[in-house]
Amino acid sequence: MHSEDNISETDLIKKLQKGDEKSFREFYDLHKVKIYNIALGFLVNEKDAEDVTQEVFVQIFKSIKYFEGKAKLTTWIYRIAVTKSLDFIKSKKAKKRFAFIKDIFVNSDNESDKEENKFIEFEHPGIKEENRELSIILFKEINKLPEKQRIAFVLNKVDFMSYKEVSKIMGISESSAESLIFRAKANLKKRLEKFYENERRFLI
Amino acid sequence: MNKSELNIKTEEVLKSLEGIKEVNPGDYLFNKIMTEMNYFEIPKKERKFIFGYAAIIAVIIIVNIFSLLNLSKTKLNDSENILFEKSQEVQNFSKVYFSNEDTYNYR
Repeated sequence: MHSEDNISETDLIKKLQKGDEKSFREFYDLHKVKIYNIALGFLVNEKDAEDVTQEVFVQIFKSIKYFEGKAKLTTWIYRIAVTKSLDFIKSKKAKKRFAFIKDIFVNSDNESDKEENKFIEFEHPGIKEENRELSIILFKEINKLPEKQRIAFVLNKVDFMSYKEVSKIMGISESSAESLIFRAKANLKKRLEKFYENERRFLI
Repeated sequence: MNKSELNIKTEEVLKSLEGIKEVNPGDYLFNKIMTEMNYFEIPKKERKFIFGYAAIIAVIIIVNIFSLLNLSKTKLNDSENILFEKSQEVQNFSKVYFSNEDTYNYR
């Protein structure tokens, strides 16, 4: 079964490298959900995740001719998805900073005009409704984690990838991936405790 | 909130990711990607030509607009000149006809 998968994957790559449009559709249908959910795990916003998914597929279709098959195809495309998601977050942060400065200098009475309000945060349609509020708190803290810990944690806990998959995508050993996830969880616990401590102090 | 309550709360937050479901992207996304791809598929050389043609067309339009504006200006000047000449003619005529001494002897 595994070798059959490999043969069809190799065929598909060859067809993609030749620019066969039918196989673009086939490839897209095969990987759209995973790529979209990786982006959603990092960005926690449907529209942003769609933008990143689009960027990822364009990047894949453009550079598939350079794919040599050194890594597994899925590892290669998931790596692109992670990189594009993180780049998107960085550019969004830069835009936010600029918007904040703009709002200081350009006086606008209308709240809807403010650039900062144009950034809608934390909308993950896959999260259970009863967990929504708690997950918003969690995602805010996940975003404050060091980058490597964040990548490992999101891939493992949000996208349910194994330590092995995480390690391959990140280009590290399995034990390093496990340790990153462990440290991320410990960090999150600390941060959440601090969050609730502050909340309690604020209420008193 | 004591330590154990804090622990429970933190664990609850960490467990909020449990049962998270995979989500499908919108159906229109593939068409969006293909549209984007078609743009990239136009070879750089062709894209250069397209921009070149666009620039030439823009220059032609601008030149046309300027020449049209100049033409209307000169037309206006011509009509002003004709009016001026006519009024001069009328003035001269009226000078000759009404203001000069009557040399004709009626007797």
